[in-house]
Amino acid sequence: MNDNEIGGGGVTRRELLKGAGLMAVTTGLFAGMPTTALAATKPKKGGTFRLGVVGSTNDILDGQAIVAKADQARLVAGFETLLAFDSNFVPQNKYGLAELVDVKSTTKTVVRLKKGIQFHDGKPMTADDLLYSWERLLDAKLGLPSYKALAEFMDPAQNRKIDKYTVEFNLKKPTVGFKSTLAGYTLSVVPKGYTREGKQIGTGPYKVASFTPGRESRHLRNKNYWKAGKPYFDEVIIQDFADKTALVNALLSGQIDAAVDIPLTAIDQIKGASGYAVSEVSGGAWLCMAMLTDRAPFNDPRVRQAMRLVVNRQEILARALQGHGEIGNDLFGKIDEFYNANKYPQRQQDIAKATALLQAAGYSKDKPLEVDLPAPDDTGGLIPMAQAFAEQAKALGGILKVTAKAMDSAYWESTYTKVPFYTSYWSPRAYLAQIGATAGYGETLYEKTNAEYNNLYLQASGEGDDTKRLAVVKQLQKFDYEDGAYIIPVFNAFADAYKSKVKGVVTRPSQLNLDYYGRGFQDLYFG
Amino acid sequence: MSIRIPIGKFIAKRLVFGVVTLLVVSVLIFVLTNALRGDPASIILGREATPEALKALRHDFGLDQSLPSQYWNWISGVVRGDLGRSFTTRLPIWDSLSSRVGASLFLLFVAGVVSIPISIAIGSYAAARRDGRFDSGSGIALLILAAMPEFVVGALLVIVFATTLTHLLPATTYLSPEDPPWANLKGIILPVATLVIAVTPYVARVTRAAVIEVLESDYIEMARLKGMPERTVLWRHALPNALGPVFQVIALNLAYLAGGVIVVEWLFNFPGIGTALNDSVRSRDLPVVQFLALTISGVYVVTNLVADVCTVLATPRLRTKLT
Repeated sequence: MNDNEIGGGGVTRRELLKGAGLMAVTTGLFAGMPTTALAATKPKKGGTFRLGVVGSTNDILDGQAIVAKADQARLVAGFETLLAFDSNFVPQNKYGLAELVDVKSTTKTVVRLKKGIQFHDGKPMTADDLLYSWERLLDAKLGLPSYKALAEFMDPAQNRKIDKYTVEFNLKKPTVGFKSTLAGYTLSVVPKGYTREGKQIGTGPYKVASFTPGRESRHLRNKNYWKAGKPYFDEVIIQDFADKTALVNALLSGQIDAAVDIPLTAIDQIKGASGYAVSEVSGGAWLCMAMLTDRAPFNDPRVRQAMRLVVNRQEILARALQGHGEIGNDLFGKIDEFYNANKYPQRQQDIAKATALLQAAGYSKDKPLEVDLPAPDDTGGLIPMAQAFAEQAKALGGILKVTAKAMDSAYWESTYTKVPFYTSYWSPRAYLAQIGATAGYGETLYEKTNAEYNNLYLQASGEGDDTKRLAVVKQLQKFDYEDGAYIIPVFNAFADAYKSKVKGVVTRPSQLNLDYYGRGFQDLYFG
Repeated sequence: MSIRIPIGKFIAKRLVFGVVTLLVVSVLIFVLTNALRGDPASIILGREATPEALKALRHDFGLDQSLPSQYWNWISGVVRGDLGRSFTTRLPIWDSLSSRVGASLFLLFVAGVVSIPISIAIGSYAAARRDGRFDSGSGIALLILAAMPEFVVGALLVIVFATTLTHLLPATTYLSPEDPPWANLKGIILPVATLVIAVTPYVARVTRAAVIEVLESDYIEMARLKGMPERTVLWRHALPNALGPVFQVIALNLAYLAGGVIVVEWLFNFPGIGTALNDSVRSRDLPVVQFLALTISGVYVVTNLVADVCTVLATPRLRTKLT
């Protein structure tokens, strides 16, 4: 409805295609970031918690997959991973099913499960379930969202059961950050024999009672949950809304207790209403314009540089995100400890330099560079970003003509990565993981057209030593900043709203809303 | 009664006409939905889809056949009562959409039941006191309401009654999937009010004009001269004769509501066909789009048929023509 809102938090069905939740982060970057302290009072049990999400009849429920953002909330309520990221993006086992994750080398990791954890049907979780979970994740026929990224470095046949609770993972390719991979929220442990069509059984705080796509799902407290005293609510209802305006209205009229991904335009309205709170974080998700480097006009590095100098980032932040976010610097991996390792200065709009670069590349007022910039309406912020960029290009006085094209969600199938210049978005990822994800989707083809860059990437991915890896990452980022094919004008904020009586909400940069939906709703309660 | 046989024939004729209309509409729907940009199979399976999986899905849904034979498969299925399966859920359409169709029809029904008497009452009263204070006041008010689109009216109602000024009513319609549409009557007050406000101005204005026309006719003059009380003149003699055109306008407006309900459902997150239509268009779930478009066309045809029959029955001139 509103072009100016940042839609679905930037995660829609394409996130499926992008290997949702696969993240290799080992960083302390966010240490000391402000977090909303948990209330000192003892959490109260009981009540029905209603969460509003933007969903549709396409929603699914699967312990290891999502197709749209609404599916995330349902997944984390019922299913858990071996490790989970703490507030500093370090994978820990506090919220995970693993008792111990022992990284022996870049190709071998031993995982021991916590004992005494039961699935929702009462069956104890063992090494057999863990092995099955990874067979399912790596089943080419199922084609789960994480398949492509995992198959790069793992063949499930090489994993080995050591005893009832211990599994040895043997990677076919040296891989750093396997621990972080284990914390990816879609890589949960499911019982042996689990299927999407069968019973939804996991280890999570809530077990599924019913699910009607496009309407709602009901989740009942898991009485045998392995953490004593948790969770707190008797029931969680996740209700689908077709439209964000209705979502906000339902919250403000008291029908739901929390709403995720509220339109950025509604933040002030909700903050102004009494009895409500907003949790807003800018955690490294980004909007971008991508240029394909294997063809004209963007196979010419001068043209790429010129495009990046055309952008007025502040204006895009204001127009596309109403100021809710931060400006970008054409570098990605913001949550990574190695983000902008070379300390490049903020790139500014420079019309004169952009004009000179385009002239050097052979363009003139008589022979202007003309490109379309398509953007889909299912991801808020992209259309206004494209429109703003097209207008900013006019400052070059006719040498560059950009036409912004608004499209619907068919964009992802018909246009995305198929035209030389287009818009996209990503959720937070570590630096190297992002290069892999970008390559997986062929978003810029930069790694294909720059062999040196590709070699450096492979070198960094297999380098276990932090100092040595940093040196390689610095070389990679020199390419990204000076030669790369992304225009990254902004990092967008996520905003969730809830009734003040909902306690236990943690506000920090996180992959999922409400900090992993209050860790599958186990940390939330009514005060 | 002597009119029974001719009106039966009339209805039968109109029914045949209605079926032909729907068939023509079905061809249009089919052609237009297939012209939607994007291949449904690849939208459903995503970019990771292997060529084999795409081929299997296309074959499964008969998308590998020619368009005319796809149309034939679809329309012959509809005639047999087999509506086909949804591309996205892979489930039979009727199973997943019947509750939504029911909910939307219920919304439409309540809106009709509320708006028709209100608008006829306003229109007749304004006509009876032509140029009086009520007439001019209601005239201006109705004009203002008619000028506002549904989403503006709905948004205003939400601000006033649900979110900002007061919290008297829920802002959205919550219905559990197991519940019948009448399980949450409080939740449908605002959507019904929005639809009523959308329709009432037109029907009231037409009623007023029709009643005024009748009130100026000779037989009303005669009735008044006979010394009949004005109330009896209005309700027994004028109004029944004014109803013909009013039925037509009501039918047009109800049919319009069947489409307008999409905006209202969107606004109030009402679990009806409007939200389903939006979802299915976005995901290129063609069987669902086709079914819903055909359902809405069906409502048009049926309401117009009912209105025509009512008009004929209410208009002696037309009624006698049938014999």
